[in-house]
Amino acid sequence: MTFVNDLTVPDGYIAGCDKRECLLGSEFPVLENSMDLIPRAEWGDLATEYDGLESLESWTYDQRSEGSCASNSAAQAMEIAISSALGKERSVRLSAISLYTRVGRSAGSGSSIPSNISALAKKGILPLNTAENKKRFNHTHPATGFSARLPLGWETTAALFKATEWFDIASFEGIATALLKGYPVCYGRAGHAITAVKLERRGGEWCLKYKNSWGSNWGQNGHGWDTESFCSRSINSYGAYAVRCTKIDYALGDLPQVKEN
Amino acid sequence: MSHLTLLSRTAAVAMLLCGPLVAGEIAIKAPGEPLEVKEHVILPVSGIPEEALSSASVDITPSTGVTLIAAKSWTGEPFLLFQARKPGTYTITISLNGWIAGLDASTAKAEAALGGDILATQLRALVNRLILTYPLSKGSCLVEVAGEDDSPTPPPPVPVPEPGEKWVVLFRESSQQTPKQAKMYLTLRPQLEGKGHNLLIVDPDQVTKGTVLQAYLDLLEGDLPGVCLAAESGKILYSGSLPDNINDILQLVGE
Repeated sequence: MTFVNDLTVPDGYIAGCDKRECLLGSEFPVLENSMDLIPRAEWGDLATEYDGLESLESWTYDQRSEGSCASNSAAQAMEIAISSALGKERSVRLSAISLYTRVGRSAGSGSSIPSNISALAKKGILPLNTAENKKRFNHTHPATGFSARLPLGWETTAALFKATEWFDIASFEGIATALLKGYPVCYGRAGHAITAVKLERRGGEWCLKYKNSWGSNWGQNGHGWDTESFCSRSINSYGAYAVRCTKIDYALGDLPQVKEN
Repeated sequence: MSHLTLLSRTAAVAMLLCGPLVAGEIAIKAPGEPLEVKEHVILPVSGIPEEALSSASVDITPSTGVTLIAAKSWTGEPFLLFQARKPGTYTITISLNGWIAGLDASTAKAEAALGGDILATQLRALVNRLILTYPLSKGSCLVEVAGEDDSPTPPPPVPVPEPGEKWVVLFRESSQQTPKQAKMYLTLRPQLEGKGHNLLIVDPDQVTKGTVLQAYLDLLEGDLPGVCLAAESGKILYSGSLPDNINDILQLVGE
C-alpha cells in the first residue's frame, strides 16, 4: 500500500466531513489575500530543505466509529500549532470529541471543517482525559464517545485552548504556502477531513503528506499522501484552513517574572 | 624584511647581556615633524657597537596599538621601524645592560660594590648563584603622531553566557513568517531543549495583556522577529533583534 489518494475507509470507521456551508473568507481571512504566495518554482528547494511539521506531532488521533474526522483534523492542527509555539513537552493532547459533540448532529452525522474551526475559535476545546491532564486541568474529556456529556463548567478550561487566528485557503498553492511557512492545514476531500503536515514531491507530482485520524496502524504511522490533482478538486467544496495562532497562557505558569537589571 | 636581521618583533623586549661591555652615547633619530597615524617610519640608531646589538633592549611608552621592530641593515646599521594606530607622543628607549654573576650577597651589598649605580636591577637565581643586570648606557627619543585614532572598532558586546537553564522567548509576526524562519525555528527547538533550555515562539496576537509574557514583549523595540533571553531568576540577559542563523542564537544562549 502506498496510501496515495487513498479513499478506502477501514472496517469500523466512517468518513464524516460535510461540505462547507459558509462562503470562502466569510469568517476568517483568505490566505491568498493576506500574503504573497510562494512561487511554485521555489517549492522544490524549500520542500527539500524543510522537514515539515511531523516532528511536532505527539500522538495519532483515532476517531473510531464516529463521524468526527473534521473535529479530529481541527484538533490535530491545533495541537501542532501549540507544539510549534511551546514545544511538545508543553503541548497538551486534546479531546476531539469535546468539539464534535458541539457541532455534530449524531455520532455518525459528520460535520464541516469550518463549523469545527469556528467552535474552536469561539469556545475552544477540552484536554484529553489522560492522567497527566486530569492533574493539571479542572475539566478533561475522552477521545471518543459522542454521547458523553461535557463536564459542568467545561467552558472555563476549554477557553484555555482556543485557536484564535485561522486562514481560509482557496487553492493548492495556498496550502503549499501555509505548510512551507509552518502552519498546519486541515482540509477535506471525498467526505473525509485530514491534517496536512508537509509538502512533498512524489511520483513527479506535488503531494500533501497528511496525518489521518484512523489510529497509528493506518498508513505509514498514521500518515498518507494526496496528490495535487486529487485534492485540488475538493478544496472549494470542503474547505482548507491553516491555524496561525492559539492561546498559550495555560503553559506559561513557570515563565519567570522579568527582573529589572 | 628579508634583508634585515630581526632582533625584536615587539616593543619592550629585553635581552640579557653576556658580560660587561663599553658603549658610547646611544642616539635614536626622531622624525623632524609629526607622523600620520599608521605611517611607517625608519628611526636610525647610533652609538651601539654591532657586537652589542643582540643585548640591547628596546622599550616604548605607551605601547598600545604600536608596531616597533628593531633591525639592522645589510651594512650593519641598526634602526627601528615604527608605526602607531593612535595619535600621541611616544617615548622610545634603547638601553644596553651589563651583568654580574657569582654574588651570594644581598642586593644592598651588590649596590654598594657598584657604587650605587644599579638602576632597576633584575635579580635572577641561576644555578644557586645570583645574577644582577644593570644598564650601562641608554638613549631615547620622542615621536609625535597626529591624526584620527585608527584602532579597530571593537565588536558589539556579546552578552556573557550565564550557566544554567534559560528562557528564550522569541516573538515573531506569524503571518510574515518566511519558510527560512519556519525551518530555523523547527531546527532550533530540539537544540535548545536538548540543553535544558526553554523556547517559546510567540506571535504578539498570543500575548494576553497584563501577563508575564507581556512584560517580555514590552522589552522589545523595533521590528520583529525579536528575542528575549532570560535566566531562571528572570534576569534579562539579552533583548533585541533575533540573529538570523541558528549558530548565532545558540552562541547568544550559551551552554
